[in-house]
Order: sequence, then C-alpha cells, then structure tokens
Amino acid sequence: MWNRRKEDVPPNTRPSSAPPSPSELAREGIPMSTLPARGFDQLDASSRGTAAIGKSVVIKGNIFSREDLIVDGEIEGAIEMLEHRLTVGPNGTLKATVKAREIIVVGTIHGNVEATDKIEIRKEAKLVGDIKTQRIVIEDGAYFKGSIDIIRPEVTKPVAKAAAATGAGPTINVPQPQTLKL
Amino acid sequence: MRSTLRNIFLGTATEPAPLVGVRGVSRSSSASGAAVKMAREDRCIDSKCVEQFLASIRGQGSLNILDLTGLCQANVDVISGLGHRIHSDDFLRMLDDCFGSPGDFYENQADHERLDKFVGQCLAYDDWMFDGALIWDSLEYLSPDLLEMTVNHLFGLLKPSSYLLATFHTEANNGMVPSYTYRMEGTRSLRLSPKGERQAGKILQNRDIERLFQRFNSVKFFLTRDNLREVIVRR
Repeated sequence: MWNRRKEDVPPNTRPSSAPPSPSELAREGIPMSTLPARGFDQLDASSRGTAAIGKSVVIKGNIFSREDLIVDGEIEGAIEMLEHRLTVGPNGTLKATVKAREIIVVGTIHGNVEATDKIEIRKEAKLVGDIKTQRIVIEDGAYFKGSIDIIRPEVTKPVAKAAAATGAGPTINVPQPQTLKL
Repeated sequence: MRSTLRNIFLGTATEPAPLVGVRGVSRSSSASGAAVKMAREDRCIDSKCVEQFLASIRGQGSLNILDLTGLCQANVDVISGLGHRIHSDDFLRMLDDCFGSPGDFYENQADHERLDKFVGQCLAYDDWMFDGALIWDSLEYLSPDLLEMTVNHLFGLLKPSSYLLATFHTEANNGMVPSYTYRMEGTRSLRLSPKGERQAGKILQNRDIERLFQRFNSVKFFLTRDNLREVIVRR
C-alpha cells in the first residue's frame, strides 16, 4: 500500500536556453538587487554587500553566484555558489538543487542540498531533500524529511603541506626517464 | 519468518522494574505523579537499548539509519559520527497533518482518503533500504489496524539482521502519555526532552509487543523506572 518514494524536486521542464514565455517574463520583471539586504536583521548583520532576492521576486532558472546571496523570494531551478554563502530567508521558497559553501535555512527548500562547509537549519525552516555537508547545525523545531550525509574533509598529504609551508608554488610533475631492463 | 529467538528480559510488565540510571529526576510517591512531573523537564537515562543498537552498527561501512523522532542535532551527531547516513522523518508531525482535526485522531486513521495521504508521504522508501531504525514512541499513537500495517511495512524496509529500537509507555494517565524528543547522548545515554502529552492509542504490554513484532527474529525488552519500556527488535 505504501507508495515508493517520489522525486522531491520536479525536473526542470524547460531548458535554460529556451526563451521564456511572456508570463514568465512578466514574473521575472523585477530585477535582482545587489543592494545591502534589509528585512531580517538576525541574519544580515554581516551580509552588507551581498546580493538579495526580495520576497516578491520569482525566478525560474539557474543561478550561479560569485557573491553571498540572500533569497527571500521564490526560485525554481538550481543555485550554485561553491565559494559563497546562501541564506534562505523566512519568506524564501526554493524548489531547487542547491550547492554552496555555506547555507542558512530559515524558509523552505524542496530539493537536494550540498554545502561544502556548513549548513544551518533554523527552527522555522522546512527542508525536504537530501543534505550533503561537512558540518550541520540544527535548531529544534525545524521540519526535515530526507537524508543527511556528513562528508569528512580530505586529509591533505604531508608533502603538500610541507610544500605550502616553504612557500613553494604549484609543482609540475615531469616523468623521469626510466631504464628498461631487457 | 516467524520469530524463533524471542528473548524476553524482566518478565511481565507488572514486575517491579530495576532502576536504570535515572539522573536529575525528582522522585514522587505515586507513579502517575512522577510521570507528570517528569514530563515537564529534560532528563537523561542510561539506555541499554541505545547501547545495543549503536553496538550493532558500529565498525561497519556507511549504513542507512532511519530516525523517526524528527530532525535532532544529537542523533545526527551520533549516527554521522559512526560514519553512517541518517534518514530523518518526522512521524508524529506527519500523523498530526494527516489525521488531526477536524474529527477524532484515531477514528480518522480509518478514513481511506487520509490513510492514502499518509502512506503516500510517510515511510515511502525502498524495501531493504535501512540497516537500522530508531522508531522511538511513534507506534504508540496508531490505531490497531494502522499499527499492524506500519510494523509490517517497517519489516519490509529493514534489511535482514538489522535492528529496530522502539519505546512504549507502561502506563497512561487518563489515556495520556508524555511525548518526548529522544536524543542519544554518547553511546549509552538517552535524553528525553518533553513535548507535552498525547493521547495514546493503546498501552501495549509485553505480550502485545511480542505479537506485534512476530515476523521479526527476536524482541528484547528493557524496563526503566520512569514508565518507559525500551524494546530492541532484530529483523
């Protein structure tokens, strides 16, 4: 009687290269602001200069960001910002796969999430999807359905460490000539 | 797959239970009074069940462990600390969403439309997906039919020889039992964080629990003095 698990994230039906429909254009008419975010003071103390997507903004498509991002609107698609922090505000709703260095969730995410450093799930958050991360911080009261996979950081090889300590730059491995024994 | 190795410790539920390391709990003369008082404050108990469960999954490669208490930092830390993947499902919240008001919570569990919604959303995993399951007190809030169906479903989700951990209250106060968030602390301690009281479906005795898990390989009971019976079941 129990059904099999369905995909949490609906597949993106329209390829990102396809032109948007007029209705989508109308919905995406509000530009993304890069002004300092306002609205949720508890989150943005250190977020001046980060990009922000306001709560009346709906985006369908993929976002690649080279700066921190606060989302308080709706996004359907994918978000990738491997070097930066993503904050999903209280009004933020993502139906997306997310990859970021650090993720703070106060709103809702439906989709798989990968944080290369850390994810914080606040008590008001709702997250349905699988999480991959190095570190996780959970507040009581958050709703989560999915799996959590803690990735152990790779131990750097002592040789590489020694090279870094001496200030050596990138090294090129040149294959040594070998003597063939016949 | 009838049970062949059913190990029952401590006999019947009416026998006086041994003290299993209750800390930080003020005692009351009456059992129900103690239950009500305990329900208001966090407390930590030594748990043989947790110890055995964790021993069963220690030292193995990346396993899949199901936890039905909802998202909990302590359990994530313990399970992921052993190198395993934890699958979290907030069973009680799902029950409330599907069978809560309007109407009676337990009568609603016979409603086909609500039942369809429940089985479509909750525990929707592949067969033999899990190497262990932390069920806690989730089974206490099910009507008899849904209870049997859920346990049979869990049997299908678990791999052979894996373990399931559940808790059952030994008594109720006017049908009400304290509900907890169950947090594992270390390898043999369990912290019970109260979440208020809930109407229990039925207070199950040892025989009922044996019957409930009759498809499983073995059932072990551990009684604590705080009206809680811990059960570890081997698939």
